[in-house]
Amino acid sequence: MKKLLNAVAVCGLVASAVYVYSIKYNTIFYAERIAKAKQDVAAEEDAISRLRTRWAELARPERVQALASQLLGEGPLDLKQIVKPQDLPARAAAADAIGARIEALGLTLPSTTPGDSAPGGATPQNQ
Amino acid sequence: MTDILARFAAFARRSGLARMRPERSTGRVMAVSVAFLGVFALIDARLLQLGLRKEPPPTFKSSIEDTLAKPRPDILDREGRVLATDVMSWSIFAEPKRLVDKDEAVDQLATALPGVDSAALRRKFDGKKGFVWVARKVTEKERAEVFHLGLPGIGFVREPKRVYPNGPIGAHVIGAVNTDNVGIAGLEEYIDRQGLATLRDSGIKIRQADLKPLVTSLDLRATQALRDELEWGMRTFSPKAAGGAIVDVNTGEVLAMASLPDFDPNVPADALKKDNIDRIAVGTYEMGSTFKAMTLAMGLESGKFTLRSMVDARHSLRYGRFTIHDFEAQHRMLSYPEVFTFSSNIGAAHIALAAGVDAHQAFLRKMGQLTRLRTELPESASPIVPKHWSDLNTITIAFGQGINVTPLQALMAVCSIVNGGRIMPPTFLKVADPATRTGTRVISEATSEDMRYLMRMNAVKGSARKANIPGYFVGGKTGTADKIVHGHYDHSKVFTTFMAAVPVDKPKYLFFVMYDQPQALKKDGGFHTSAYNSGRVAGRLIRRVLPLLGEPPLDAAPADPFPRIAASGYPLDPLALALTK
Repeated sequence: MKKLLNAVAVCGLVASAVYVYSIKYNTIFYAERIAKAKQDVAAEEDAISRLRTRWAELARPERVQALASQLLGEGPLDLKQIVKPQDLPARAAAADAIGARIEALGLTLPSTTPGDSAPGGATPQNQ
Repeated sequence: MTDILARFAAFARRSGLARMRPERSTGRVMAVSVAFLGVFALIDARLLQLGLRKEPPPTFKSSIEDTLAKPRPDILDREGRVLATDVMSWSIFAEPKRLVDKDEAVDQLATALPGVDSAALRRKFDGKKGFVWVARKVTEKERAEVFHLGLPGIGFVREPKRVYPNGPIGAHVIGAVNTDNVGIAGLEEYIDRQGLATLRDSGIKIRQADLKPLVTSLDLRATQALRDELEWGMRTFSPKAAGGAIVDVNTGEVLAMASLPDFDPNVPADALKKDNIDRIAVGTYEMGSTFKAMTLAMGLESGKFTLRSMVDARHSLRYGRFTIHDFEAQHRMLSYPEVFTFSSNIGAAHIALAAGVDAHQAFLRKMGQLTRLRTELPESASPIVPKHWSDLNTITIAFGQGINVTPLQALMAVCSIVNGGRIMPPTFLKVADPATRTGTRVISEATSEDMRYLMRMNAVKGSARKANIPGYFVGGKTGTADKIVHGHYDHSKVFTTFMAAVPVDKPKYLFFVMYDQPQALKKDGGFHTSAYNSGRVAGRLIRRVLPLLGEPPLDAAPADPFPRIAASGYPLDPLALALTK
């Protein structure tokens, strides 16, 4: 009986030691992951601030103005260019541009095959 | 066995081996115990002392970190666009004692870092210091090059670097920082005064993300447009300097401000150059006819004059050995609005004299013209006010000569004249709740409306016609002051200003433009008065900036723009009521 109790106690001791060590190593593992994540966050924050600065430099009005006037030949906005929504012309009737093109080619007309002796056939007749 | 023991006992007694008997050795044991206790107590005390210490012991790394630039909050415009921000950069240091071959190190570093002076670097390496900076805030490419040199004794640390993506746009408001990221001008210095410096000195580690960005009142696009138009004027009229501002008249927020020549805050040394001062906030000038607006407001406010009053401008005004002339002399009685539209010096002088010296002085004091105006910007200037104020001073100050104020100060007064009579110091920070900006009443609503009518009249009939942009209900006032050269006013050198309120029936914005010594153009017939330079630029500015601020041109004139004057039965000029097409 006493031996059994001792064995149980030893087993318990070993098990608890394993458990404690597993917690300890998990803690270290997570601490490392946290440190890594913190580093990543800092790196991302740096990147965000760098990109924000870069964007601000690229989109600065002075540069956009220079590009627009040199490359696109645009000038400052003229007041005549500002219109109210109600001043806009009414929308044109919907047009099927591709359909109209096909119709103009005459592809929708009944076809005339060369063998057909229909008058005005597409193929020239050799006499 | 007993025999052996007895013999040993005898031997021990003889030789003194058994002298350690408790009754005789207590004292020695006590002494040893106390000694041990003492030593352990000392060790414990030292451990406790180390444990209770707040800062870690100074190491090489922490001593570098103390000297590094500290992060600063971003500065944004009112729409959240970046005006100033921190970017992480690398700084390179050296520990000269660990350098193997100093000459070779200097050569290699100077090749990799073009900005480094090799002679100066060699002197630094020969000094006694254990730590010297090689280069602060270098680019990623330069850092990589130095890194690949693989020199022992050369190290790298990360350091925030202040970047101003817009260069000189808004530079005078934003200010600049020195190498250690400490503000030396403008809002950058304001940030340090607001407690960042204290926080930095406390040694608490600050992260950039923890700092709340400073939202300014500036609109980046409007500021850029303002600077661009001022530069157009610099090219066209070749003045010595220029300045301009756009202010929200109801809250006192400065939406745009520029002063030329200016500087790029990315090159902080230029910020402190004398020629680059902020002429709007720090320059003091004789503002000329802009002061007539104050004189006429005072006349109306005193009750001695109304819009129907006639003012004597038949003869030049003599005072002692001085004679006051009009630029566009009419030699007749002028109506009150005519005093304004003809910009009559004589008329303004008569109005100020009618109010009296004391009332004139008190009025200008109320309008903030006699005391130093302080804003968030650390830069400010005291007005130059005559020490003894006589009738003659009142006469000249009535039309803006004999008193020097900062343009910002004059702007503040004109804002209060057009906004219904409430004066408030201009602010460079975005106002979260406009209702909190009530200001102090200096003139009545009625006087303000009268003055707005006068400004409108001046825009349709007077000197401000060049800024009367079709589609906007503009009111304006020109100002041309002769500059003093060797103690005399020189007609060939002028200082011109222009103020325009839009829309003048219910003003939102005040536009201000000034040029110092503009030259006349041939096509303008040799005139260099305000209308031809400052007025023209103000017109271009109104046309360009109002759409940016979300104000499209109007279709029709506002209905009943001057209700109080109309109700009094005063014959309003139909031209002033109509919208210019």
